[in-house]
Amino acid sequence: MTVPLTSFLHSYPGLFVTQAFFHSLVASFVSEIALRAWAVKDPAIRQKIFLVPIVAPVVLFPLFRLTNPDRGSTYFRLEAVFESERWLDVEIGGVRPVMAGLVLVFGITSLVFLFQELIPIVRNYVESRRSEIAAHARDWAEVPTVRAAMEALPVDPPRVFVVEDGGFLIFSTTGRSGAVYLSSALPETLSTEELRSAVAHEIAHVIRSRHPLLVAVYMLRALLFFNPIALMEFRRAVQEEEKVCDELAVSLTGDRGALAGALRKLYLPTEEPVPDGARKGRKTAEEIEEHSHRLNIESRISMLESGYEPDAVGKWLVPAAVVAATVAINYLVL
Amino acid sequence: MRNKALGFLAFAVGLAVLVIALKTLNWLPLVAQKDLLRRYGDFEEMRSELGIRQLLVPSYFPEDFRWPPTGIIAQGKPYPAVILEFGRSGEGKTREIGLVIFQATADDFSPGGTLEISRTLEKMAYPLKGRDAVLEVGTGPGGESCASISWREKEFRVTVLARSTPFEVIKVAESMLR
Repeated sequence: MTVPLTSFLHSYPGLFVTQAFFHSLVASFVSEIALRAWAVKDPAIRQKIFLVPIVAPVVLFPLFRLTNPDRGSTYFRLEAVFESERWLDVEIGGVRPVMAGLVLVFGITSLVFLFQELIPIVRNYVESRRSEIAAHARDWAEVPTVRAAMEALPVDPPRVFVVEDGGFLIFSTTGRSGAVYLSSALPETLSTEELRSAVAHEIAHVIRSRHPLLVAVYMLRALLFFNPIALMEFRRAVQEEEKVCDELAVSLTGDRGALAGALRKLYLPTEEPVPDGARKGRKTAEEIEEHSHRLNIESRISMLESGYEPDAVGKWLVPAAVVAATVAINYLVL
Repeated sequence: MRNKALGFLAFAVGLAVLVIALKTLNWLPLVAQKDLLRRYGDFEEMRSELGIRQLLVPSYFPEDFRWPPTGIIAQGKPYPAVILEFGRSGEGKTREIGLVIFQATADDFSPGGTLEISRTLEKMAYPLKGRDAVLEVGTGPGGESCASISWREKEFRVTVLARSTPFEVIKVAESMLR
């Protein structure tokens, strides 16, 4: 088992896999250093920075190989800042623990990608193609409360439908024929301004989904399906996408407080005390997911309430510094 | 603007810490495991550390080269490999590496680096004291004459590579086989 694994990890695809992992790890640290050094708050800049650890590992290894074929030589290895093979070759009692650990991590990450991302995306795509929600939904213009909220928006909205449902529901489908769906209970719960802000947020998702860059980044991320760092950074970029859409919505409505209020009403209901016995029975994973979701919503509300200074220079300077440092350091990371 | 400059300073300090951490992580396996690729200061030290007994060494050297090697690089894992570098010695010499002898159990092992035949002019089979050797003559990256000879000696592939004539390279190789 060890010999074929060793041969694979020393082959071109194997070197790509291991170096992509370490390159994204370094890029992730560089990104974090930049975020702290410049105290970056703008979600658009933050998102660009989070994308570096996803894009860089895909292109750097072939690029370095192309520009310097001597990069894998013995002499280059001796001068490297970090050489992953050193760790992979460490042997204790006939076992290579680092190699085994790394393979295990890659395997688990691949399964997470398969079950948490790829299968849900495919299922969602298939279901949305044969979805009949639109057939049973009313157009926004037919619902006076929604019409009142929508008419003040300064953009031509995509298709917006109101679905008969008692729950709090608002989402958008993206792509060429993107649409916004909201449940009939929402106009009863939210004020006109809050409803306008919530719909504007979903419209922002539809507008941004037409941006080919994000699709391209997802394709690159899919190439790194085994890479836990790419998985983590992609999720952070997705969380930042929500904030980018919040800001886009605010630019349409000019009302930060209304969107914060809508988020609070929709996603942060007052928690009822849970009896001890019932709490023990709940699944930990579910609790963690709920807690993480709550933190994310609270972070969005906090950002909407505090706002941030627009940073025209930092918009290109910080991502450029992160890319330059990532390339320079990773050149010496094998 | 002042914040930006301070940001740059903090970023530079952060990167310096990251590089130091990477270098430390790169050094740690060498402490834990003795047979990983590294430079050695002494031939005997390398032999005893790695336990490689079957190494060939030359008794003949072209002019300007002499024993001991100016550099020794070796590893025991993932396969045994030893590189002996010889720089030009004597007053007024540049001390550049002009002769390299490498021995490894892997057939495709090549150390790379600045001493290499970048353009092959001739490649032929050569009988070297009963061994089937391959003699290669060409030029290096700077257009200088280079030659190498390579053969299998039990489980090791031995290669002698020099910025010199093929005759000198053959003489060095022959001196390794007594």
